[in-house]
Amino acid sequence: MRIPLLLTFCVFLSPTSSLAADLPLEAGVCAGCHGEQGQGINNLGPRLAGLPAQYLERQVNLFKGGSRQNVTMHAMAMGIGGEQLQKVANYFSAQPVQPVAPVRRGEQTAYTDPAAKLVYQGDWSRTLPACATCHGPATIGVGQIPRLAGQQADYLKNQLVAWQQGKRAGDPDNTMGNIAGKLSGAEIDALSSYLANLQ
Amino acid sequence: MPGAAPTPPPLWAAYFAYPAYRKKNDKVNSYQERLQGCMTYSMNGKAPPLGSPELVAFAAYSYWLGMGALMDKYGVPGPVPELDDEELLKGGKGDDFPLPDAIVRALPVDERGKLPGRGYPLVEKPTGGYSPQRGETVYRQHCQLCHGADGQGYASAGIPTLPPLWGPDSFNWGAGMHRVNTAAYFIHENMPLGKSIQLTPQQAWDVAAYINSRERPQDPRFDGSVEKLRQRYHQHTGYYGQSVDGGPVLGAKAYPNFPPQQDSGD
Ligand code: HEC
Ligand code: HEC
Ligand code: HEC
Repeated sequence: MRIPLLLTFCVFLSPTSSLAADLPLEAGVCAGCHGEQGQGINNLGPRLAGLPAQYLERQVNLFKGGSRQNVTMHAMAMGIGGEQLQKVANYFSAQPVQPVAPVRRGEQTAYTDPAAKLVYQGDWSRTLPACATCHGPATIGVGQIPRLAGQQADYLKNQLVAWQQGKRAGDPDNTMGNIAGKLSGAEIDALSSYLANLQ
Repeated sequence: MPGAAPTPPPLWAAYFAYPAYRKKNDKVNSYQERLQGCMTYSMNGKAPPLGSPELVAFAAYSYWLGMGALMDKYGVPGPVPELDDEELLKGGKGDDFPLPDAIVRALPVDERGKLPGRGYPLVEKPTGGYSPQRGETVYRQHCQLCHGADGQGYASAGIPTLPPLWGPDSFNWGAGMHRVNTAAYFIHENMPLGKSIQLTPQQAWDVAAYINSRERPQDPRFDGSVEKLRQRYHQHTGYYGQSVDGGPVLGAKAYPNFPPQQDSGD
């Protein structure tokens, strides 16, 4: 397993970083895959920066309970809880993300890119609301609903596929499971790269 | 296409239902007056004046959607015929409204108000009645995610994103949505957004009663007396002018209409 390796890797690395002072001890291990500022590291871990703290906390608990199935994160989640988890979630939540110009509803009415059309208008013939209706203008997130803009494309794709395959659950009232179930494989690919490039 | 889905009630079905009498203001309303009503009541806003370019544009879009759908359905070829502004603003239910012959024959004036999607499908009132208290439980479980623990919705980057259901920025006491039956129909058909679950009729009525038993902006027809307005316009399944659970009389502390902060665009 590569986890112990990464553990030593980031404990070793964090003292040399200029931001080490801000990074709570408990978050050191997470930084190995998610970055010291939660900015995400390609092929290791998605961006956590700027996501709602309660959302982050709940996701870790979903990994723990098995509603979200991921071997690496299950192991990580088992090692953290309670106040420590809160502290880590608050830390990553407070980290800056690159601003994205928000798009107002109706600013543009005709779309040629089918992915953009799904993001801003949805497809009501399938009772598919626009992603931006729930995820906020330009999908920068709103309330407890996470930001998508600028997240890693592979990660976004894996999540939508995980919902389709029953490997991710625990979202309130199966809100996102229902949406993901209506998307085709080609749409998932197109949406993931469209959203990842919104930055 | 925005406005085209059969539920929520599409603009185009309403287009062919006006001019029509409305109890709300006790007169025959043209389509442009009906549009003004949406802005004055449901949006707690200030409507553009009669004949304004904004109302012409809304009416043109509604007409274009509706006429296009009817022409497809009855096999009428060619582009949607153009209308002058005056005709557009009246609505499609007038005796003299210009329509291709095939459509006039298939849809006499009386039938035009009943196009699919006009109004909300009825959801029968539960035999045991409805309760705001039970509705609060439904709200916490199924609505709070988007409309907030305090019912005030959410903004993101200063842009209103998920709408409030009561309080100063919500629809006002004159909007159809403040009626428990109307809200129950709307909610049963459309909420939670995306319909990942289907509420039971009982849940829809209870939660409609919950959101509509809290204070919101005043009924724009208010002229100083909550009681007088209640008697004149609120003899229906709503809570205006009533006290719920010993609380203050609803409407007595109503929020202002079209509050100035809405001018700033966020
Ligand atoms: C060995 C690498 C690794 C480490 C260390 C790690 N994670 Fe993760 N994390 C991942 C991967 C990979 C995913 C994506 C899982 C998936 O696809 O379901 C993930 C996903 C997450 C998510 C879900 C994000 C979202 O947007 O829903 C959260 C929250 C999270 N990790 C928190 C943590 C915390 C807190 C720690 C430290 C205690 C941590 N992770 C340590 C690899 C790691
Ligand atoms: C009806 C509301 C709604 C709509 C519409 C919606 N989402 Fe979501 N989405 C959610 C919620 C709620 C969550 C958080 C799930 C949780 O809390 O576990 C979520 C989470 C996600 C995630 C996981 C993010 C992460 O960090 O792990 C992805 C990916 C996603 N949505 C993609 C989309 C895409 C693409 C669309 C448009 C096709 C879309 N969503 C439309 C409500 C919605
Ligand atoms: C996933 C997010 C989400 C959930 C959950 C949700 N709503 Fe909504 N609701 C919305 C959005 C977005 C709108 C605005 C629709 C639009 O503008 O097209 C809305 C509109 C409404 C409206 C109309 C408001 C107005 O001003 O006309 C009512 C009433 C409403 N919702 C009630 C509810 C109730 C009751 C529940 C719980 C049973 C609920 N909603 C659950 C997202 C949601």
